[in-house]
Amino acid sequence: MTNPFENTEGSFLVLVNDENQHSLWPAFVEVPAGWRAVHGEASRDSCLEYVNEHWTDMRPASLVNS
Amino acid sequence: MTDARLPLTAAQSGIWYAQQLDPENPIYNAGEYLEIHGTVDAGLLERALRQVVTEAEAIRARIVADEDGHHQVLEAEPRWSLEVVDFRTETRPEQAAVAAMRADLGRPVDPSRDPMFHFGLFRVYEDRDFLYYRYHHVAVDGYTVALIAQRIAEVYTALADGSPVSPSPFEPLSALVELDAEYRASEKFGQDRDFWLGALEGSAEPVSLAGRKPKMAHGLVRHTAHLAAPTVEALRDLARDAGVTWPSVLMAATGAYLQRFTSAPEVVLGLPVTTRLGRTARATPGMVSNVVPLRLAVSPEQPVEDVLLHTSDQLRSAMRHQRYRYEDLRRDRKLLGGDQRLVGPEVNVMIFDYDLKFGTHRALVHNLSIGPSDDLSVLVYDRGDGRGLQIDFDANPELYTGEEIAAHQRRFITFLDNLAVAGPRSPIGAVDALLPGEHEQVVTAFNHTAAPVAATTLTELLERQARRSPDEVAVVFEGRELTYAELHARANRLAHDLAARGAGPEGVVALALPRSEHLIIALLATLKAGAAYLPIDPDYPADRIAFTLADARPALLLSTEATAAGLPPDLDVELLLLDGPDAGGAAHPPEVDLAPANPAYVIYTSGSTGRPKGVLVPHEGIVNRLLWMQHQYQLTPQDRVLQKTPSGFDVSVWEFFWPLIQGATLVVARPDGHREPAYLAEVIQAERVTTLHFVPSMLQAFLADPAAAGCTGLRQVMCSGEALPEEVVAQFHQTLPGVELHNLYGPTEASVDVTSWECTGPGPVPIGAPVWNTSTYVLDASLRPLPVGVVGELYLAGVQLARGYHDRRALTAERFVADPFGLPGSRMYRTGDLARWDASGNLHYIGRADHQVKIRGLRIELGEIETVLARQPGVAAAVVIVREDRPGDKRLVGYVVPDGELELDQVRTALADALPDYMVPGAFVVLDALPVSPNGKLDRKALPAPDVASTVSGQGPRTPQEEILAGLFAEVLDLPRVGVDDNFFDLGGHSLLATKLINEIRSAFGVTLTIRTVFEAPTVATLVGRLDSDARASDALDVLLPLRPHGDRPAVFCVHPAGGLSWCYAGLIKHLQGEHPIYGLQARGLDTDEQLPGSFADMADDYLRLMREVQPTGPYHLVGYSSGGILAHTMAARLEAAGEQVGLVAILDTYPGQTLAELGEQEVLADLLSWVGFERRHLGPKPLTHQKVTDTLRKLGSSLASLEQRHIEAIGRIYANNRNLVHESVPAFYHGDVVVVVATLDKIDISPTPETWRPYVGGRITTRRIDRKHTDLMKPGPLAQVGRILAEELREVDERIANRGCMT
Repeated sequence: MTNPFENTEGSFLVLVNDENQHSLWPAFVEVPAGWRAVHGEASRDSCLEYVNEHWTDMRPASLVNS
Repeated sequence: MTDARLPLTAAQSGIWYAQQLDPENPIYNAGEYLEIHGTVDAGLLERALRQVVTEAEAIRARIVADEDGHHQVLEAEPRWSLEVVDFRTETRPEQAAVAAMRADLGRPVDPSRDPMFHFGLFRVYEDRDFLYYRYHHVAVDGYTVALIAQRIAEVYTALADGSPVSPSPFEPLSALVELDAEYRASEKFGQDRDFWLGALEGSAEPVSLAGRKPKMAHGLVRHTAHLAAPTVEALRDLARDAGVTWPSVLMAATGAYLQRFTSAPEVVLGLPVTTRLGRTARATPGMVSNVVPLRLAVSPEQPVEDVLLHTSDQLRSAMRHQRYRYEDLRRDRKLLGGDQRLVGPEVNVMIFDYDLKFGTHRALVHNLSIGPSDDLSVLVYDRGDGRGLQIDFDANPELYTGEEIAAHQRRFITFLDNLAVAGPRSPIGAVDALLPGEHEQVVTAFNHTAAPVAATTLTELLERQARRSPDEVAVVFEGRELTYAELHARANRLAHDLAARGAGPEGVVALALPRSEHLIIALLATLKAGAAYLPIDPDYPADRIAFTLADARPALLLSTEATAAGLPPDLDVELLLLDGPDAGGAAHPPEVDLAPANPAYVIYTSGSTGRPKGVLVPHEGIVNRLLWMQHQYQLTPQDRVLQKTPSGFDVSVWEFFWPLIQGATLVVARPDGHREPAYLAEVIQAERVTTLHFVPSMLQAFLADPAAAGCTGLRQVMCSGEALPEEVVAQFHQTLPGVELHNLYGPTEASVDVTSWECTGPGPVPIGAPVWNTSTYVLDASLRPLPVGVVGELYLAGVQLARGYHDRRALTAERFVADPFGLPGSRMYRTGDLARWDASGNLHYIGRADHQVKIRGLRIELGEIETVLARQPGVAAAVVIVREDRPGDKRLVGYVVPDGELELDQVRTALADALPDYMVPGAFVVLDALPVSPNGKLDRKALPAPDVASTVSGQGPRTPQEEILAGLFAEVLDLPRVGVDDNFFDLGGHSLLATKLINEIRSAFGVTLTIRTVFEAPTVATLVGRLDSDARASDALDVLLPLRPHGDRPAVFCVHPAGGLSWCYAGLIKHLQGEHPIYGLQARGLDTDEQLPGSFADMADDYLRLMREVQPTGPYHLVGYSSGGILAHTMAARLEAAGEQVGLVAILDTYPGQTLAELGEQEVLADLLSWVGFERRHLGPKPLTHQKVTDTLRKLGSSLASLEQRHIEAIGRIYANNRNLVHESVPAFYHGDVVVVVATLDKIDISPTPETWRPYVGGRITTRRIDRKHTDLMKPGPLAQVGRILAEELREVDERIANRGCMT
């Protein structure tokens, strides 16, 4: 069984929502509502590297700002 | 005319072979009928048919098998007749006619005897006839069926017109046979083989929509549908625009559809081909058709156009090599013998560009059966007859129900409709295949879970309850109780201390505490301080504890003095001991600004890259989970919940907190108690527990314990952690009628559980429907929902999702991903579990999509174990898998390729130092190299099972206890024999089997061991020492031999027979209740040079003195075999004289006044063999030697093998002495009762009887009979009978004594 998130050859995006949560996302699938692409299309590794660098505070934004 | 004789074509051989394997299977009958729009002349039709039968040699064949192999004989003039039936008077003539055809097709045909063909003319209406024909597939292929039909029509039309019939267009069958042989001898044959082996290199096992392994079909489910004309036109345009042939589109669509519903990275379709490449081949009726693989790599992101081009390319090259046979390719790929398949579903596009006419009447073809479909065949008929495109789904009824096939067919048609309008550049994964309503059903209707839950924290819920019921009992542990007020007061004081030391919201406090009230207080205190708690299992290896603490960076580590002593030194964290001086903080809760989104706990789970990962769960998630649970299962203040799950596993979260937010009582099991069914049953009953959790495998072990049925106070049992087998559910309801059983499912990443199901009736157990405010999705590889019945990957969404993995950003972004179906900006968690919906909206768990495994509910990433294994010195490569070589018995097995010197014991120890117990493989296998598949990938299926038998050592038992214990090991491990130095775990033991062993030991030896003891002393030789501290020290040749030194009731003393050894009584312990200790009394002088006693009286007094040491007062139970019977009677009389109470006196086939035969060394040796049930004659007529007897005894696993030559001599001396004493002594008088067990087989009229004892017995003489010989009485079988008799008599004596006690 293949999972689109596990495809090491695939093309991906990094999505971010209003809570500043980050999501890896297969580029061929429509971006869900409430999320915006901040990186990619790029390789899986590139996207994960982006997440590691940019998602510095894993707390939900609403909690940080409250 | 003589009958011609020809070899079979390769294709024919394949069918013939298959039919021989299953002669009653009618599946090789191929049948069709022609719907003739008019009335035919039956006479002319028969003439036409007779001519065609003459022309088409193939259908006149009969298969003969003789010493030269198989052949086909062409009958020159076969006898046959045209079946003419008139259905016109029937109410539904068409249906009646078709039913008759189907009945005919359902009859098996024997190709060696029966004709290969049958023709029927079925009249249905005034202007409509059906021409039915049936052939055996061994004679014809689909191409031939059409060829013959055309010729029949042609000849009939000529006859009807009165015009001359054209000469036969057919070539003789020999031409086809020769072509076949020529091809197989040609260079092309080898080239084709090379092509196919290359084309299939690295291909995965073909997938099926059924999700099960196909097997031989015995029938067919067929559903017929038609594709709308506009769709057909649009698809033809799509083909034309892409520059591919029309069949390529249909095959690409089939491949894409299959990929969609299996999520497989590639599919291998079966492509039926005619193999008729030249004019001759095309002009010869016969059977040469073939099926070749059509390997399609379809990934959801590929544009439609690319999929079409890829399919077209694959199709073209397959067609170029179509003559290479399916059977040959299976053999080449080494798939014969197993159930491995070469291709998945078949797709057959049949384009007919002819118009059949019978005279002036048009005829339409209706296919009824085209041969077997072991899985699914998609048959596309493009007849050019104006009826559009007909699509039949033929399926194996053993794999699919009619409904399933109909649904797949409707979806396939929908998929084609959508494909027709999708642009050539849109991803194939975006082409929808769901039926109207299916998306709404699985995404919305099945996830209708919205429920109002206040935004609050677990801390608030706990404190609210404490205010409601301050004086009720909150916690019970080992007899100690805490009220809600006491619990919270202590937790509050500690919370102030924690806060003062820096613990607070978004911070972490680690708890290294075994189950106790300290643990509960620490949990509450941490939550009250606003921090998240991090459970640390103090039993985990030092490395793991150190890693977890370094990763989570807690503000504090809470422990107790004793536990902290066992923790690794140099931990970089402030340690606070809970059993130290009280910090004396305030009893009111600290003021903390805690939000529902702050984490409540961090639980570490196995990580695939070798690093465990901490799951951070916020209050709002666990609050939703707990309040849902309360709504669902309604805990009352009268309920008592057992807390037995280790705190490192998240099931413990509801165990801890659910009762404490509802005013119920939390009963805390003692540490390690969770593994012991007997303890659990005891605590459930003693503490009136109403609610508890089991992992299914532990539930099974619990139900197997006799005490389980006594837990009648239970109200509900929750299961989770692994698949719950329906047998366990049945066993549960049988053992605990009226108790509810619930199956729950969920990962730590979604606050414990996300689905639930109440197990009521029989049948497979689903994981159920989603809990409050939770959505569950079963998605395909392009994240589109899959319909009911189709297996896909399970995703979870809603309020219970964890925040993510502590400090693991990339990993969190990979697993917690954007949710396309929820509120904008929401996330879903990718479980890696495979599941499917059922029609009622319940989920069924299918397995794992990756290499994560669960053993007894514990989640394990094999990658983590492999990482640790591979870094051990001497290990070049390592793989770990879960094997289930015995059903239900899952175990981890490590495979290592050594790199120089490799000490497996060291590897095992190193792993135990780095990983928790349950992650250390039980068995290791050393390999020269890891097996790989042709494409160079690790071939997990080729890893061998560990050879358990080879790890059984030769060391036999040395004492009766060792012998019995070795027997229990063997019984539990299901092995014929176990050596005393063999490691229980090496032989396939695991913690669950250890539990079983402990139960067996308890009933045999009356000793309750813990699992830990078995881990510490895993061999018979070491464990025997744990049965009793004295047992190890005691010598097996001592006068008082403790066979079972434990028990609450009076002991049973077994007096030795004349030879002096009482080991023969050891077998009794399995048959006598565990409450009675059992001792053997053995003669002096077995192992020493002592003076032998001069009278039975002296001997008796000596023994009685020793008996009083272990049991100072009566009643004493006495048993004696042979001269031991005389002695037992003497001892009873002396006890009585001394004013002691005597219980049972059992005399095993001994009578006063008997004489004993003289016994030399030969007879002693033969007797030893006889005790273990071995016939002396098996060792031949030569005199026995000590060596030979010892070897034999060792092979039989008997402890008697440990006797040395000097012991044998001692036995001879003792026997001679006892023989003299028997002959000299006159029995004393005993006033009580005796039981005499008579071995009846060697008794004759003049033999002594129990009444012979009358002059020496004042009480009742009870006679019990065993139909064996005296000398056989101590053999295993009869000894079991003796044991049962003694057990009954003991019960009676006990009762009598008890009653006497009441009366006085």
